[in-house]
Amino acid sequence: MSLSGKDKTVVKAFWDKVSPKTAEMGGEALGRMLTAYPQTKTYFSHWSDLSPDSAQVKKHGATIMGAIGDAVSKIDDLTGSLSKLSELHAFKLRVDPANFRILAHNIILVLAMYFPNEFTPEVHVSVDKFLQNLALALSEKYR
Amino acid sequence: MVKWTDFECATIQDIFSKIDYDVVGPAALSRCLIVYPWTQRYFGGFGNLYKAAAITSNPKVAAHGKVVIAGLEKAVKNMDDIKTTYKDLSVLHSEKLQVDPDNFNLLADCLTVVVAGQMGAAFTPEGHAAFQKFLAVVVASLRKQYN
Repeated sequence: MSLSGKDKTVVKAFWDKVSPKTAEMGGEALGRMLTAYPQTKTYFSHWSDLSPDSAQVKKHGATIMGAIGDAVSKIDDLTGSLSKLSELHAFKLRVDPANFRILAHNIILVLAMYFPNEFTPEVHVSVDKFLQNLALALSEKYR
Repeated sequence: MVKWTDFECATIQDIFSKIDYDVVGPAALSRCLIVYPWTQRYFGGFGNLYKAAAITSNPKVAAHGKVVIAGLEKAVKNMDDIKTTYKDLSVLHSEKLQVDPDNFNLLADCLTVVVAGQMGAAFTPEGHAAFQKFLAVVVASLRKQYN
């Protein structure tokens, strides 16, 4: 399900709109994932506080969203631009790629919470496709 | 046997008392048909589903969205034994409607997104976790009679 020209335009325009809030939303999305999908906590056992209010969670959520925002700007070559991050996730972190879908769902949920009027079904489908392609690019180096 | 904490029970009742069924049901179903277009295969008799705008304004989609959420309410009212409550619905979806059960998760995800959009910050992470568990039980119960 590759990204059409329209998908790319929609994602870029929407990300422009929401960029002031992306750091906060990232923390929110990660916190929710750890709370609603407790199996994901296994990847963060080295943190002392995994609650949604945790400073570590908020900071890391912001980092993740920053990387996603960067991917938006390089939307024409996700595989190339995510190559280093893919190596990190494949060889060092060894996150099961099924979890990328779980985090994507939580990001989408938070986008809907913060921007209910802008996150229409049409925007939702393009963002969902984008995150799916991003996950694919992130899984590239796994095997 | 699914065990619910007092918090989970109270939260599910609370969320369902706060959402507007006539808005959430149709919105969740239409979002599912738009975001995951292959789910349209089950709605051949619904007329025009060619574009997002057509789906959102389709009266059959809206009516069916309300049917779906009324079905969910049955689970809300019988949280102690959703499996038995949904036995007939499970048979219906597997034998008559022949819905691929993986689609239940897609609709569940869309419902969660719509509820979050409606409730905003009131849809707390802990409430979200309870809602997620509830939907997982609903989906498992609907899958139960498939073989």
